Amino acid sequence: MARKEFETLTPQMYYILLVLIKPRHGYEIMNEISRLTDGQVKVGAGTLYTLLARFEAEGYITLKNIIDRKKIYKITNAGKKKLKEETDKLTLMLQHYKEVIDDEEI
Amino acid sequence: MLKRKNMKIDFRTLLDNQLENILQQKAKEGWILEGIRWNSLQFKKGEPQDVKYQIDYNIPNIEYKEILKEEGYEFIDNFNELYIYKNDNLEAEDLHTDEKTRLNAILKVFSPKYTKTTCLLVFILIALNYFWIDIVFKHLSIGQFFSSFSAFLLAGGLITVILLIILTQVQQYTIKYCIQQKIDKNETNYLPFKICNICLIITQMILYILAIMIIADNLLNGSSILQFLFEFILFFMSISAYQFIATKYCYRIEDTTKRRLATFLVLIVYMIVFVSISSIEFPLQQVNSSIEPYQIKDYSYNQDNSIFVSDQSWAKEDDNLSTSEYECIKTCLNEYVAQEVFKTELVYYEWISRMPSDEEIFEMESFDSDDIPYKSYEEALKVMKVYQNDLVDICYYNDYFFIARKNKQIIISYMKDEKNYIDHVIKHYLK
Repeated sequence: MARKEFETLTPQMYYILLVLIKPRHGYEIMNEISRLTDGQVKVGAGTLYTLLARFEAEGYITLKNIIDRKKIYKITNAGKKKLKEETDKLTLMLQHYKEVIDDEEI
Repeated sequence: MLKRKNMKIDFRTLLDNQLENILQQKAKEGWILEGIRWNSLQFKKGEPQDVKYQIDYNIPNIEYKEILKEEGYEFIDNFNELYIYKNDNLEAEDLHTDEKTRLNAILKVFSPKYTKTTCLLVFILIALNYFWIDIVFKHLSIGQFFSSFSAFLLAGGLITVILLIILTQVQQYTIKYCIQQKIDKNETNYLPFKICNICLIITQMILYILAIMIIADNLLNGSSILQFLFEFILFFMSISAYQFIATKYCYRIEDTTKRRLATFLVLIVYMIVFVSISSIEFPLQQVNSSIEPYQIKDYSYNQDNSIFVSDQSWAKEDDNLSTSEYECIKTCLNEYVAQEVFKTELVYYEWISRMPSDEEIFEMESFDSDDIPYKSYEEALKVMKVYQNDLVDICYYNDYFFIARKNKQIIISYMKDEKNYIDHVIKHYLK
């Protein structure tokens, strides 16, 4: 079921994996995504903790450390691979978009 | 005027993201969510409030609790992995901002738990065995089944309970199907769930009716009213306590291993309590003191008394008929022991009543009654005749003896020719 769940990443899934390139705990992840996307992508606490548990079970992230009762997560190689796959998919879509639509049309 | 009211949690409102709005609307009307009892939301009438409610599916750990606190969320109550939070700030960030993740979380919460289901089924079958299965499936023929109204009610109750468990499990699968449809196609068909729900409601109603009839039957029967009521209350209290601990407090333990261990322990304790209830004998009935020997004369009949509360036998010689009249009543510790003793006694009395066949005598080197083999219980049943009777749970007879069991009492008597003799003896002892 999890494989299907992560077949296509939602923006929240994508950004959580992305910001975990650097080890971070829950609250930092939320703040970093908000800063990076200028508040465009919102990750609620429920969504974040659901996804952290699912990503960890799927092997996309790993628990690196617990400091001051806060769990620090980091992306794994499997996570990086998934992130790259998704980025490639998005890049390809962007290329196709540019091929079809001229800048002037926008 | 109503001060409290309940509303059953419908997974469809969760799936369609409507429950939060319903709770908010109710708070505006002055119905403030107090908590969750069983699987119903409990509201208390108070001052109207404009607050934000959020449903979550994460078992909260310390870090998570801190974030929720920082965002202004206050924990209300939980039922299994469904947690309800309240926030006075209407502008606070929603807990779930990704629909796909939210639906997958709901799917995880509502998916059937195979281990739990299996444990539940096994436990219920074992527990029911103590009460009814022996009576229904092993001892009573179809004829007897319909001849006794009590047995009919109990068998009906048993079948309904089993049906209810099966339907509950089927409903879990229909819920899983609906959520999966919603995830895959962003729309869902609630028809299988609705059909299953209607069947479940009908089955529940039948069970309630049967339960009332069983209680009434026991009250009218009059033999063990208080025993029955105590068992019923204890059963109800134990299942409530189990539900309360297993579905609420166990899901507040953040460590997965500890949580599973706690759930398992609660289940084990509940099983022990449930099974023990059937064995508890309340000092409410005067069984032995009310029994007067039918024909008083000591008879040298020795049995191992360790499993009996009492074992009384009487017999007298009738010189004219050159036969003896023998009666015996055994009161066992509980019904389960009585069932086992009944089997042993039936095999024994079949054995002492039986003359060996010519082939058996021929095979034996010397004719000795000790060489005659005992039949198994099932074989013995085939040669004994069933006596259909409302007075006792079960009764078998042959040309020489009859043996009957009522609850934890076993009555054995020498069989006379008169047909109403069995009734006469049973009535005398059971009063």
